[in-house]
Amino acid sequence: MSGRIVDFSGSAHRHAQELLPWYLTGTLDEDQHAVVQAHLRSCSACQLDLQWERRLQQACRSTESVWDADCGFAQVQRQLNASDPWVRRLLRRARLGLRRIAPSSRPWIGYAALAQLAAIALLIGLLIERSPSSGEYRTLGAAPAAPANILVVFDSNLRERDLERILRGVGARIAGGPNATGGYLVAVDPARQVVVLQALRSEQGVRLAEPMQLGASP
Amino acid sequence: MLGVPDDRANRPLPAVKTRAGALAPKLDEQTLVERTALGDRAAFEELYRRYFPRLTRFVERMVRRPQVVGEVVNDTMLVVWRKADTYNGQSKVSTWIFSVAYRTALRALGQQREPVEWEPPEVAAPSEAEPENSLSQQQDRRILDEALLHLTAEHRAVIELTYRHDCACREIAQIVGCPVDTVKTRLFYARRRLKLILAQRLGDLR
Repeated sequence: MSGRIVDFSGSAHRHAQELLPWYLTGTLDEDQHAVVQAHLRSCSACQLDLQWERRLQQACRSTESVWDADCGFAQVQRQLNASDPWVRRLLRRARLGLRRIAPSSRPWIGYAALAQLAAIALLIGLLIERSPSSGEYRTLGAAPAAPANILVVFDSNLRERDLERILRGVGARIAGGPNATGGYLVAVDPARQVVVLQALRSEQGVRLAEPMQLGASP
Repeated sequence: MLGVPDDRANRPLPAVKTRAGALAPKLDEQTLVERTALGDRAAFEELYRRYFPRLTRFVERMVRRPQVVGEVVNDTMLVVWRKADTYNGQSKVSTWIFSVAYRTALRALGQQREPVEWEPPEVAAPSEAEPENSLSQQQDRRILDEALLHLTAEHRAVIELTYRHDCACREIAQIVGCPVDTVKTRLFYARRRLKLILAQRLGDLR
């Protein structure tokens, strides 16, 4: 301690005071660090403050997060699946695939691959159109979508792949959801509704499965 | 397009597998954001898991209500998923993600119809079993938690980013979207208020 009188109203002291926390965490640039260090040598008030800062820092760092990342990510995945339309997902995946096969310096390789795929799809389309039609053939897109007729609430800890496995197992598809209470609307062949309900209720990951009237909302 | 260094631009992106795939190569965060922008869910998951502990801690401090912490963190990461292609690489990935979290937390506080400036509860007097001169670190933390309730969300955020997350002043300014001098002043007054409250609570902390 130098015993020098410190001017508390001085700008140097105020400046050092402002920078003390970052001096402590070592995130000041070289010049600022030197300024604070020089001031600390002659200012007992700032030296005391630095001790206080250290204690505050320790207190701030002494807690760890108790939240479960697995659970959090499962919720995000559900939200992503519900909000990301499959067309957008497909496009993203196509972009990702192109990026893998084509470095950005030669993007034409990716576009060439895409054009090739489009040409193949076109040819397949033409072949299908010209093939003798039995009258019963329908593309998946042409099939009338069955309306949602079951409301399912899954266990909140259920993983996405288990959810898919359950629905695939009973031949159901998601028609909407999740809603505010986590419920999904699923569609099944109306003739199998009762069987599917029983199968769903026997699953451990299903908290609730209820039939829905046509046109009703959950 | 993302601000990716030139030396990486010509390389095909490496594969990412996350915990589920039992292989988590330590890709740098900028690469993870780049891949997230392309719709790579594994990269996004890796990013999510890396940031989850830091974000929950930060948001917890800001919103104080456990029931909305998870929601705010997930909303933050959903913005990261949707807006990854707007990240321009001019700031650190952490700065970008924390700035999203900060805005999301403030919005959540607004939706709770709770003013950011609010009247704090009374500070409890020290109990007899808690001698004033022999405070453990755990007690320090509990008392600090109480004292922080007397600060605004903006002040709590600056305290948390400085002492817990070791953010530099300029970085905090980017996160909270204000000038560097405002951050210095904000922290200065937050510390001064904390000191007053803690002095009242402990008597001898200084």
